[in-house]
Amino acid sequence: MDSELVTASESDTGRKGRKPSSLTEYFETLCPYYIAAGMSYDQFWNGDSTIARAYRKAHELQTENQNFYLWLQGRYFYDALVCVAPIVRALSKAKKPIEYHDQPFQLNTTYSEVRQKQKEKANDTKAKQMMEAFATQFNKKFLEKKGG
Amino acid sequence: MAKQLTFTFEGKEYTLEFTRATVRQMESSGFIASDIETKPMTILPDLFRGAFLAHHRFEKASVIDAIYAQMTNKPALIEALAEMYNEPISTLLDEPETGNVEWTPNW
Repeated sequence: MDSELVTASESDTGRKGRKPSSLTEYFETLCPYYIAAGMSYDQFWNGDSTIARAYRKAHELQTENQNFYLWLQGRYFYDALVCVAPIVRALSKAKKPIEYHDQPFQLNTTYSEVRQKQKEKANDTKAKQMMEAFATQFNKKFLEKKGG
Repeated sequence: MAKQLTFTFEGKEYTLEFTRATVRQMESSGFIASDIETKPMTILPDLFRGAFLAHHRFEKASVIDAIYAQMTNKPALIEALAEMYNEPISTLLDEPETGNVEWTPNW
């Protein structure tokens, strides 16, 4: 299952979508997004305009972290189900559940590392498929040449 | 830190800056930045006046006009003001830091 990171949409952050007719319209469209990201109304309209960058980046990191912890929760839940699975199966002879982790997972990885590994794996698969396709084509041509 | 332009005129220190609120105020009073190409001589003093709204909202128009008249190196001033005016929007439009293709305009 491919999991896409839940972030504000492109149109929410104002990078894409219908072109606004004025800067005011643009600001008014984006103001709620930045307020949701933690900026005050006064900061957005009257404050140093560069602060918005920090708020946007912080909001992206926050969303990424939130997504990571939701994923982690899913992992714990999955493991818990695996542990109790033997005793909830009707025909199982097991009388005891598998012992659950006595300690939490060691968090020595960040969400972006997980995403990086997923990307690398996907790239490896793609490269393998391309190589296989190339080999098949080469063999086909070789056989045709040999036959003809 | 937002781009600001500072100077002293008749003993008073001035800081020119644009915020989103002042850009909105300028637009609501009829300022159209894209007119700079067709009506530069009208737009530039307006742009200069607008830059006072953030920190010197109640400065008299006559004083601002006097300052504008005495400003040296107008071409560089225009460039600086345009850059400052652009900042409230450009800070919202920054692209993600994933690109690696650099480009150069030919003007």
